Amino acid sequence: MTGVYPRGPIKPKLLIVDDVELNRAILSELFCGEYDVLEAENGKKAIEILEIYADSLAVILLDIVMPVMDGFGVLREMVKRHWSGRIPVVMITAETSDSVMQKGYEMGAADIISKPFNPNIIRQRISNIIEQYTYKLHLEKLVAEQTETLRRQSQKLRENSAQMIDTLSAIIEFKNTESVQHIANIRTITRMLLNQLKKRHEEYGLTDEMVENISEAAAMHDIGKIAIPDQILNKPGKLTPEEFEVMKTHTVKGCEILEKLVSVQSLTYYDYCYEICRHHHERWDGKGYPDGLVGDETPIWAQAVSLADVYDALSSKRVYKEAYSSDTAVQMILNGECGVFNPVLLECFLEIVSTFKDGIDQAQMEREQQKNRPQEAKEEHLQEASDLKMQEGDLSYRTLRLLELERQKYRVMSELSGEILFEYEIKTDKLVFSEKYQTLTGNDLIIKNLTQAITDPEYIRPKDLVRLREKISGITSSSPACKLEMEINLEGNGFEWYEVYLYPIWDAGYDVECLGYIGKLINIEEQKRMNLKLQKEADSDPLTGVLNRKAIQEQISKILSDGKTRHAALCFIDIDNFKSVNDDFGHLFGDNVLKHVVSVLLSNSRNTDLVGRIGGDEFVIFLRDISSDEALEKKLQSICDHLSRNCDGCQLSGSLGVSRYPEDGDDYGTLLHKADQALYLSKRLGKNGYQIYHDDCGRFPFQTMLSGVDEYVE
Amino acid sequence: MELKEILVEAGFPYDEILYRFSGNEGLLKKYLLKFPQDPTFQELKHNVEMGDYVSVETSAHTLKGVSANLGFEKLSEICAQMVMAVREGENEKITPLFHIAQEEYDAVLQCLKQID
Repeated sequence: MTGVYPRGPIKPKLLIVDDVELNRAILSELFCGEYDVLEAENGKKAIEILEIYADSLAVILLDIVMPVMDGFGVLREMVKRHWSGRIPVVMITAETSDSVMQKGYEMGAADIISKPFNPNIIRQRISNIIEQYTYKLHLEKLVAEQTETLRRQSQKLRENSAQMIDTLSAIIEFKNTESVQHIANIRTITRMLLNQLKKRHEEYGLTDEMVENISEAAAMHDIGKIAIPDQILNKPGKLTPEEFEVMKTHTVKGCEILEKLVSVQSLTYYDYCYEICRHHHERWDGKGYPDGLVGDETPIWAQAVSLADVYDALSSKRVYKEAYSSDTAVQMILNGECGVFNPVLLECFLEIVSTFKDGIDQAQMEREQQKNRPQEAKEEHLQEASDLKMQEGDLSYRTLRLLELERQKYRVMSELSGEILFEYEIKTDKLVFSEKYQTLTGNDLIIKNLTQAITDPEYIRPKDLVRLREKISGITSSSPACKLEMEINLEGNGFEWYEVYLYPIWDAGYDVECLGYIGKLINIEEQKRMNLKLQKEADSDPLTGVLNRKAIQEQISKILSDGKTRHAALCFIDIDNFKSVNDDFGHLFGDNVLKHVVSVLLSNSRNTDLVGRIGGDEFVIFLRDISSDEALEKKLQSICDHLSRNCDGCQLSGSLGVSRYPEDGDDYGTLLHKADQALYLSKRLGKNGYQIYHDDCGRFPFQTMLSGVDEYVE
Repeated sequence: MELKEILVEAGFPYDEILYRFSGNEGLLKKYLLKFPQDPTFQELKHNVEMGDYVSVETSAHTLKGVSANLGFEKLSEICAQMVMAVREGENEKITPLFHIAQEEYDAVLQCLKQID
């Protein structure tokens, strides 16, 4: 058997009440394992035990026939002391006649077991009963809690709707200055009328709650007047028939407004509002508007408001008339001058009309007091609410504060760093820069619709955009940092190089989602320019300015590995007899000769071709995309012709050895080697000419034309 | 002799009785030994002799319960009949019934004497 109560040091208490010791012993033996057993030999002793242990007794086993106080006496006492609902009583008795059992149940026994009993069965039944009672008590507690919650919620709703009504009333006040008092009066008079009606005529089924609600709802009856043009609403004279027709529509218009106000519809008394709004100008004989309802077809609350409305209109000052005395007003109503009313209602009206003024004054006073009090109550309430929030949402309040602190720090840091920092939020597609950006560019700090903005080639080059997007898509939570260099026309004065750092911000929810990025932009234009300059210097031959040996090798190799070039020719050029030029005319002259040679080469090559100096008087031209042999030979001839000249008595000329890509090789080393062989042949055949590589070139015993000890990279 | 043997020999349903005592033979033994000192039977006797039938009903009822608990079925049954007789107003049955009860009672005591 599973115990309902947790096992362990605290056993639930069980009370056995029987005058026969043997019976107590047997039962005690049965239950002592699971329960903490208490015994009483008669009803009186049982009560004494209950007085002490009522809160912790799980069940009572009760005999009927006992001296001093019998079982029924115990039950009676338990009912009296309100123990009955909480502690189940199981009667164990030899008396099993129907009448006894009946009496037992009537007096509150949970179960009746007859002697002699079956030990196991009794155990089970006791256990079941305890379980039931525990559950019952638990449910009762739940219901109580729920009721409390509901009560608080409905209280809140009522407050909200009271606010709503006040707001609407204030709106009406703007339109029509007499209305405020009128509304208050209608409330009071309606309430008083209905209370009287409730007292006198139960058949209308009015309750206090209804009266309360109706009175509140009555405040809305003229809300439709907002839709009536001022000149009609505030006309000091009598309305023309057409004007009156318009005025009449305030009933229906009011309903339209109510229908639109969704939050008002949640009010319990919304229906009252609607009906009062619509029907407060109906009349008993059907001659009212808008629907011409007859008699009690008009809901009684609308009837009450309609009577209240008429009385108040008569007895107050209006734009179109002075105030009549109460007696005059009553007389006019009874004469039917304002339409026909429900005789029953009129009866009640007459009974209490003299008390209206007092009622209105009273209500006025209460309202004044209320105005001050709810403020206090509200403040208290607000304080309570925020205290509660502090306690339960203590964490979130603190967290918010910490967050705010962090933001401040961040702002300061970003200002101090002097860099352009930015924050991008994916959801809003908004980029926000730090102040530095504004200082620098004079632009607004915020860029909306960023995804659109960056596609503008004015600001970012398309190929850079592609790179940027690639980099971003490569961001994962394990490698979050993203850095790249790109050109941006940030300031509007042209493209400059920036280092862009991007760091993603993750949402720490279940789905790790990227919310956006923070990062910075560093202008590296200067650096970049410097770098390029240095790079160029490293690649150049100092004397002539063309590519040096290393650079041309690198660049040609790169072009070849790119695979984009289909045909090319590598020309190896050697100045004939340069050594003797240096010897005979001096190094300065020699230098000028070299410069001259370079200018010839440059003028004979295109921007896409490469020109380099690979040795003392050895040069290379890499002619790209030169496909036909005729074109090639023509160019080579041109170079030779231009190289051949007489400089101050110095006869210059050059020899060319040429290899072709891809026919003669596909890497720099091979091409150069073959060009070298061709050159050697050219020299051998008399210099001042060119030789394009062919198979025979390899046949001659070969000596490389390259000065210097560097080996080719084969 | 074992308690079980003693009771069974005398015709009492040992297992059933023990079951009612939650298997606690020690407890059963204790109360079996107590039974001869229980004054209820003497009270019943007295009441029968006095002709105090209201009290007879009470004593008989009590004795009925006690004997039933201890497994003295026949004795219990007689007591039940006595209770019924008083309730039915059949007072003339009381004395004869009591004599049978007396016999049963003596038999029980005889049996119990064997327990040490």
